[in-house]
Amino acid sequence: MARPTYGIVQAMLSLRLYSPSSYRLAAPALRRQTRGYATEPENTTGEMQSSTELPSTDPLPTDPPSAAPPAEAPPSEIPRVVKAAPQIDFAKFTAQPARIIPASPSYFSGSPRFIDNVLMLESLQAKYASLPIVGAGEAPRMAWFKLAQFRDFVGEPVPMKKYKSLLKILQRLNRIQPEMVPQEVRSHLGKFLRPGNPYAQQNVPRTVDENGRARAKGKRKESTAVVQLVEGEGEIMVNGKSLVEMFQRVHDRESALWALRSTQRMDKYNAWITVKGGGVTGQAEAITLAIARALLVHEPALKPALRKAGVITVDARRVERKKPGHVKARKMPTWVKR
Amino acid sequence: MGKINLTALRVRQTAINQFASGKISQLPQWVQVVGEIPPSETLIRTPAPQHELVRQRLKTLPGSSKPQVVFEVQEKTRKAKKASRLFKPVGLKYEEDQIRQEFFRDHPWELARPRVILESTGKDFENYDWSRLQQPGKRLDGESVVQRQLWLLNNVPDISKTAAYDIARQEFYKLRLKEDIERRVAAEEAEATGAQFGLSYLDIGMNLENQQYEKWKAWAKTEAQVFDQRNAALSGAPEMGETEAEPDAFGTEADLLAPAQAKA
Amino acid sequence: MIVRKFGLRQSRQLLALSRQTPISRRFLSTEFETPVAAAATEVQTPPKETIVPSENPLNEVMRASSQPQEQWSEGRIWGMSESRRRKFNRTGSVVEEIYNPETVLDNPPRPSDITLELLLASGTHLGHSTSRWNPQNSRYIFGIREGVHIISLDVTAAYLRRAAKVVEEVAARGGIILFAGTRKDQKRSVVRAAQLARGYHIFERWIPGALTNGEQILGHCETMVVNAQDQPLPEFKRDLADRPSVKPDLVVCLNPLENVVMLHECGLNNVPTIGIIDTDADPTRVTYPIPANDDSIRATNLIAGILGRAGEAGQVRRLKAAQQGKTTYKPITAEQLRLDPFTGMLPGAEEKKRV
Repeated sequence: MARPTYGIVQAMLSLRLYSPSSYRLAAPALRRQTRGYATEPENTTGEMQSSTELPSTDPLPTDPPSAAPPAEAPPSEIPRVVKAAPQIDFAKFTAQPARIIPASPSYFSGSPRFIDNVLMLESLQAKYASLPIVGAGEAPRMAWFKLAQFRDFVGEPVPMKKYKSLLKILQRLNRIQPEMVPQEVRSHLGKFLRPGNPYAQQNVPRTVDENGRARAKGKRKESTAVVQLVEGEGEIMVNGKSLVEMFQRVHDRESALWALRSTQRMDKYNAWITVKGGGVTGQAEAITLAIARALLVHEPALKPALRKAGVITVDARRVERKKPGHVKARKMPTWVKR
Repeated sequence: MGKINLTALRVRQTAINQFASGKISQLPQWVQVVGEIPPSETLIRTPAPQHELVRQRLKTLPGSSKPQVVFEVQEKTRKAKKASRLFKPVGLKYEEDQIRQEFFRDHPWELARPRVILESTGKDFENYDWSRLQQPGKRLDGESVVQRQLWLLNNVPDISKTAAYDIARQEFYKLRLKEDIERRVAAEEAEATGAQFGLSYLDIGMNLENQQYEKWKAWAKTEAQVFDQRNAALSGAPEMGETEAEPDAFGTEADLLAPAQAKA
Repeated sequence: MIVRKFGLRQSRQLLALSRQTPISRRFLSTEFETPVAAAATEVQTPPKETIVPSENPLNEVMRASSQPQEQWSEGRIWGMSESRRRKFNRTGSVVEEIYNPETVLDNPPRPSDITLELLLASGTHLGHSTSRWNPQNSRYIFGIREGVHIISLDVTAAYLRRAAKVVEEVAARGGIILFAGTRKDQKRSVVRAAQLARGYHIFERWIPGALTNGEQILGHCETMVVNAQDQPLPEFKRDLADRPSVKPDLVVCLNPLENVVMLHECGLNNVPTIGIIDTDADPTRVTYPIPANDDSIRATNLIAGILGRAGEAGQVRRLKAAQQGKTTYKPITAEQLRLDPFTGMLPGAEEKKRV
């Protein structure tokens, strides 16, 4: 059963094991590694093993001598008598680096911080699933991060869909009966809130200023209109011109003043309007919206009438962009057979 | 390497070669592990396990007084196996499959009963003793009969398949009847102490049917009335007989057209 | 016929009741045509004097619930219902040996607990339809039943034990083990296995290039230097800049069919892999195949749990050795950390020292 030890020792030193102090220290550790199954009781007797106990792994045949580590010792130096291992300096040992490992268990997913957050919230949700909840409308209103803010927060390009799934968990946690929310949940939810409290400030209702002017803005297509509305005799100035000079088409004039006309206030207000951007129709309808809003400042009771007239509804449509491969936004080039 | 990609199987050799050629500065920690626990021979094909139908019987052989356990193997057709079929898996054959098929062919409604097929440890069979039909922790179902019949075939000397089937079946019927009586008594007891089970499914179904029938009766009555009225109205104008079946709207139109037709 | 001996059968139970019941009188007549509703009201409104206080715990509960107190907060009501639930859950019969699908996640079996019965009960033996088989798997297939290939359970057990041993040994040598299961319901088992084995998990899509193009895809993900006892050493943080991304030492894949790209990258990076190979999968894609059913979540949960437990055993061994001041692997030294990871030279130094 006597085996030549040289090859085994070389193989062992070159690939399997490294002991910072000496070979003597390595022997028990080596013995531990060559155990069988995970369930076998660990044999921690510190006796030196004979060479026959070494596993019959094939030694590395192609070890170039240059690549062998410097710890390689000639076989004659293998001690026959086992001495006690030297004392280990633990302060030094714990200060020594051993491995470079990823900081998060979800390192390989490419977005570890996001995944860690999701897992943490899911574990919270599972832990406090039995707590009573309130309806979705009764839960306190929370200003969660917007997507861009969340991306800054985690520092990873999180897609919208995944962030929505995280928001769902946040909203479920937020629905826990308010006086019963555990401190843990509260602190974790607090991490996903926008700085400041956007829902705390109340909207101040606009009022007429000291000169009796009501100022309002309106937008349509690319145009923006600013209207200053005062009580008067029905004079309208648009960018320093009269309405007729500004809008040649009757339809545009009608639509610009539709808010006043539909409520029969044509001769009760003067308007001083600046409008810029866009084309004629856009400007006219931007003015419509601005006048309607300014009129609401003077007479808030007109809101149902104006709503019915359709002048305080914002038209958010914009020109759709042209796409490559298309003639316009959606039009495809004509198909030619040959 | 042809079509087969052996990269995954040769990770260790690749690592050693890369280390020898200096591509990597040190061997990964797993190289020794893979050396000690080598991957199996994935690509070597082994002949597929052959399955034959084996029947266990207790028989008194001629010349001996005591019955003996006999294993009967179904006679195999001695056909030379094609070389390409050598490694192809063959079907599994068990005697209880035949028994099961027969039982459920005779009792198809047994399949409609709910059954628990979930096991947590897979060791439920250790608690079963098929020398009797009822088992602790198992509901009486068709599978019980199958197992009972198999036990009889394996353990009763010189029993025929039909005899075993009859015995198992009779026991099963008896127990089912007992279960049924128990259930009825339990229901009656519960009702006597104040439980209410409401209407039975049959009653609910009959009620629904009655409702629909009543609805239809109401509808049919009005239809009949309308029909009678129309008939009465048209009885004075027999030349309009061909437009009789048409709805009212067309009827008025026809009335308008009628003078024109008369003029023409 | 059944009602005939009713009084006799019921008499003991009737005596046990702590209330006066007019039932027995009702049943003295042979007619059983009493309306059910009337009987029910009769029974359910016993005379108030007959209630024996504090004999039945239900009585207290009933009385408490009949007088709702307005001033109680939601929390108090919930706490009371919880305590009541806890109290009454223990009463009555005890059901033993019930199947709880969470058990395999909370407390997965160890590699020594692998039995053929367990594998059978978990459904690992079910393969795919015979028409979908990959003939390279013929050595794992036991036979055909109902047009479905049945995987040989003894082979599964042997291969599973072998894979568990590999996981344990790699964990004991400080290797980085990645558990990957990208099917919808494999998330929890993958996370749990990684947690047990102190490994890494991926349960969403594998980003192609995470190994072959690691700088781009994993470059922003944090790494750290730890000592032998897995305590982070922040003083080496600046040495980690410009290092290549970390590569796993072992990849465990629960669904190799969907993760062909990942296994290909593992092949290119020379990383050993373990995978669950169903009868329609290609066994040469992974280093250590585990022939089993990869479509049953129960089966994959079981296998992931066993491998996680094996990894846990390996980590325990490694940390035990570290407590005695030994490392079971070759640790990276402070000098190596300071070297440039690409040229292998000291920053600024001119000596051409090869590591």
